[in-house]
Amino acid sequence: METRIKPKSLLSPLAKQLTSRLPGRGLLLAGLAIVLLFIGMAVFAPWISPYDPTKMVDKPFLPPSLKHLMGTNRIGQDVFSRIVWGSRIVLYVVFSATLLSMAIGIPLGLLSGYRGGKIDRVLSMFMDSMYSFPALILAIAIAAVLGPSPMNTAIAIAFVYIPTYFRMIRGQTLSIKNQLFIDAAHALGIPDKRIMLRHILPNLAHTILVVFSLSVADAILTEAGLSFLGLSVTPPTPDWGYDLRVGQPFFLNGQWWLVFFPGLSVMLLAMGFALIGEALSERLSLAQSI
Amino acid sequence: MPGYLLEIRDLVVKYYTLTGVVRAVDHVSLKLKPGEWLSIVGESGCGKSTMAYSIVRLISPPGKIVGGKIIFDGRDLLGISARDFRRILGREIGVVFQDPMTSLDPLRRIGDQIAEVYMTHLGMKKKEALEKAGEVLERVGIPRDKISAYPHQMSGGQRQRVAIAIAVALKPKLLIADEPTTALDVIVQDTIMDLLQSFKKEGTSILFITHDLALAAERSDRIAVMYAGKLVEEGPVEEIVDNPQHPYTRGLLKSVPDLWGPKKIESIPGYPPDLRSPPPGCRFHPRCRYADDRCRREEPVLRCLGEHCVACHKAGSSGVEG
Repeated sequence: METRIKPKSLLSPLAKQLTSRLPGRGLLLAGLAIVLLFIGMAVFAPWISPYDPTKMVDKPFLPPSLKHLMGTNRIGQDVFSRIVWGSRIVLYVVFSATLLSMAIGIPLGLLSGYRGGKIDRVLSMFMDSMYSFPALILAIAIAAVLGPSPMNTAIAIAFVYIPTYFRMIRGQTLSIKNQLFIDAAHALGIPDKRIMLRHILPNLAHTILVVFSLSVADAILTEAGLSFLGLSVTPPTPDWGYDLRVGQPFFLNGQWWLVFFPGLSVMLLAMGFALIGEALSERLSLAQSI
Repeated sequence: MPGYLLEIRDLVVKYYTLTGVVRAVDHVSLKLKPGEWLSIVGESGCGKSTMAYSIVRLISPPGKIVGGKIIFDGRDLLGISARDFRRILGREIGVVFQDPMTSLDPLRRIGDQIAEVYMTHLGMKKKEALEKAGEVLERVGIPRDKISAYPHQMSGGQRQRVAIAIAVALKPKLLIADEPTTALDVIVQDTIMDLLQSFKKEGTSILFITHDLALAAERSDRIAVMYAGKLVEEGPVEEIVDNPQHPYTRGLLKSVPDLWGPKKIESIPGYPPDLRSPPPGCRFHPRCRYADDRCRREEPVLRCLGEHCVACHKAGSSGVEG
């Protein structure tokens, strides 16, 4: 009389799908390696960074050497230490922003696609008008209003990506809700709320995963852009975008390490997430692009 | 007069498409007694599924129920609130769909899907609901240990059994089965029919939708034949099979091969009409070899002789008898 359901996570078939030998495995693993490297850097920053990133630790403008792996900047801070600690800011801002836009975009997209009618028309119109703004301009506008702080930057970026989630989720909901098993759920007298949460949402897991990694990649660039423009953190907090801007005038003087390493970090991290997103979308055969 | 479990009166369902209004179900009336098996037979697009879906409110835009009444167990199904209606669905009316490959949620274990019915309607705790789910699985002939299987791990026949298990979990008074065997092979088809019949023996009424008249004739108490949104003939199964009155019903019967006899298979010439602009008069007249001027002009009404009803000007007259 064994009627117990074995505890096994919903995602386990997904995990199997992700690690199996299929085309795109290389991309996926490369992306994961890059992302894990930066996450490790952020987590273990106090142990990895050789110096205090906010203090003057040596002469300014020292080129990369064994003592200062990435040289020192114009006020004698260690660039490598700033890169390591900067990864904390980037990841914090980008993950909070993405979680926030998921928290708003997914429920609204689900509701809009499922209910249809007036709610759908109003929400879609609103989201489309938000989507029509260039991402950076919208983020600048919101960030400028909120003032510079990592959390405010996260909110500004979150707004940019809400329509992305909304549109993807709405579209997928529309196609899932017309499938027979949803009709079958209706025919069993299951309430709408339960159908949305228990029958449609789990079937959106693939989509959410792909949109998540692609939008994180994009958000990293937006964050760098905002802090480049001085709208994210206040000095002396270490931040890649900010360091890029500060180092930029010295590039032509031959002090290339001031912009090279922050720029490389931004690019690598964004690429890592983009690789994961691409590989996932290929693997989960999600043909749609965002 | 016996009490009816389900009474459909003058039901009209239309689809408002971009290219015109489709009258999918056009003034159809049907009655179903408790414990009875009624099969609705007709070809694709004749409105039989639309009619069945109207009973459980699965008609979504551009479709709309524009007229008629559906009385179930003394209650007007088209009049009650969505909330009250949900209480009837799943508990008093169960539905089995045509395609067992897509009627189950691909991401949830079958046990959970059956248990959901108990949890939603009876407020059971998960553990208790799963216990009941195991019982009903065994009842439909699936071993209990399959309870944590996913739909993709099962065959088509097994999935249809699961779908039936979900539909009958709360012992509904009415089971609506929309071509439940069409996607299955003949052997499995037979076992599914046996299963449905076993529920009938326990007192469940069955509304069976099919395009297969031979299949319907094997198990039904009564058969209703639909053509182009209209009910053309209805009666006890022996009457329909042995004494069909409508030329369309006869055509359907003649198109069924007879394994033992020298019978020649005949097909019905032509195609069903476009329901955006059905032919005037009797809708079958362009394909009917007995059609005359009256058939082209005047729409026949359903006339009954005892239990046997037919909508044909020629029925009972010498025109069709030959």
